[in-house]
Amino acid sequence: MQTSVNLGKLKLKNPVTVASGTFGYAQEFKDLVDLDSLGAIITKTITLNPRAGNPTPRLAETSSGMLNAIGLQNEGLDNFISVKLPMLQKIKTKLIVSVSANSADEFIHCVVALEKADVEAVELNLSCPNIKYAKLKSHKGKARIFAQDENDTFRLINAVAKKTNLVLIAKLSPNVTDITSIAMAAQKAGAHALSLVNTFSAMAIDINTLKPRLANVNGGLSGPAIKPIAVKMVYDVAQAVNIPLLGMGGIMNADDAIEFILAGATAISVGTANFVQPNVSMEIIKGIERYCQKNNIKDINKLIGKFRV
Amino acid sequence: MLYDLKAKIEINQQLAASVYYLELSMASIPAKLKPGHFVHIRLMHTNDPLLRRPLSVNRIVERKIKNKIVKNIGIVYKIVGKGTHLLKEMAVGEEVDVLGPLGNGFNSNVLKPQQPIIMVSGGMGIAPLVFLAQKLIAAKSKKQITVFLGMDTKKNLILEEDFKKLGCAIQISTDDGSKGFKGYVSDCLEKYLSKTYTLNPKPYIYACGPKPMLKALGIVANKFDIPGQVSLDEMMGCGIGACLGCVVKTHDPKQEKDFVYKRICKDGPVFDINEIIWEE
Repeated sequence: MQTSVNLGKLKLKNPVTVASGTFGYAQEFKDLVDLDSLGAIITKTITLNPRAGNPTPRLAETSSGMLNAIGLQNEGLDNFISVKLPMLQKIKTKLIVSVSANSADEFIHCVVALEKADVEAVELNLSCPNIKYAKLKSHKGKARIFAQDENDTFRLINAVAKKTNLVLIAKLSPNVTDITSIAMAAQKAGAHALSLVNTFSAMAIDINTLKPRLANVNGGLSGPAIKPIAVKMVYDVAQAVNIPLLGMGGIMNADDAIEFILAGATAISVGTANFVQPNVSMEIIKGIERYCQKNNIKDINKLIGKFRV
Repeated sequence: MLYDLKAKIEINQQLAASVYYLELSMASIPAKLKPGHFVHIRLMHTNDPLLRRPLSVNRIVERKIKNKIVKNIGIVYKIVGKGTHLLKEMAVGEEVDVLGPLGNGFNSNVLKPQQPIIMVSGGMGIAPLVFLAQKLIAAKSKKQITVFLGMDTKKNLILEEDFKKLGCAIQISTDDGSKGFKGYVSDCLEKYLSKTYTLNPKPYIYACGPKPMLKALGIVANKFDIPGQVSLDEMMGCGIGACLGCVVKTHDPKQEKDFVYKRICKDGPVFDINEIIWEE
């Protein structure tokens, strides 16, 4: 059976990847997961300079979901390249480095440095809901997530695309009126694939203390609670663009993963489920294979976007 | 080495109003557990609650089954929310999923010979200290342990007998004064240290409990210049150091930054008493 899929030039041995921020830098999972078996590993987002992250509490559990406001805590680009990258590059899978930045210049700086360090692909995180974004004139002084604005999305991806040969995957926000317009802007700007979707902006209140359950007040909702919305967004975007999609949002098992593929995702990311069942990505790989065998599907690519209305 | 394994419930029995003793049998994990370690438990077959529950190890129990000694994990848990409520309802023979061993555990190598030990617990913080006391007593060098046991009220006191059996001295405090010292366990300790205790040789503190209690304890330990370790309790995501959800502010050893976030699940849950920056 043919299980490999392509995200642009990036050839994955199977469509199962682990989502940024839910798998650390992979070493944390080495006892529990055969890292070599994964389709790709997407790292915790790195930024040019180290970030301390948000105050605590950073996590809250909601019905079939999880709220987080970690705030992109990381040790910065240099530490990533010198300390974490060598270990990641020993793993026999594709590596996708998640990068966030405050400006086009900062994005370019990071991506160029990663390219020099033999990284093959980056995921441009334009959509973290838990950090403070610059208040731009174009937003009438309001801070917005980059991926909430077509022009910002185009400008940032295009600036990076002009300076690098890396595979560029843009991670988009679901917190928009129409995700297809943002997706089209990302495609036009030169993104080779799109990650859909980041977490949903959300909050929870402790009714006993009258306080927010996250110190950051709002956070990003993930887990099974968001899956049906994410599936629809993948489906909608699949109709609007012709670049491959990396689908994610509440995938807990192989059935969920197949649902995303049928909706139009070329590959999928397992996120919050990694916290619940660390080896779930391996079970999903096997489950997809079983589904294909059972349904006599010789090539996983034949499944992409193949659901019928 | 970490394991994620199915475990069978052997005992799930009430100890106090909302407190239960859970005993689990499984492969690999029990033999690797040290005092201060925790396990991350998942109730299978549900997405609600979604996340695992981090629970400290109360003891390792040796049971003889078919002439073979097997080691089980004993856990004492309190019903707090959805997860523990469901756990309470589970029957002997049913399975849960256990991830472990997790965390760094208490360090007893720092103890000097003959150094008296003070254990301080607030509420459910007593659970991992039983395991620690058992190990310290079983060690070759003789240990003198005084346990300061803080609880809200007398009827919720648990595990006192375990310390008695080990020959530990016990000082009880309750918030409402229904048994022992009336007030916080940190105040009980302070009073004890200033009135009855000779600080020569200097004792060593091991503590576990809610953050406000540990903060108050830190102030007392500082006042008497007593070294020690505290184990923190926190809600967790992954439990293995990946998600950065359960961090705590600590002093920067390089003194370059105002603070450094450490992961309670991976860098802790046990920290040096002077390492934590206590917040409100």
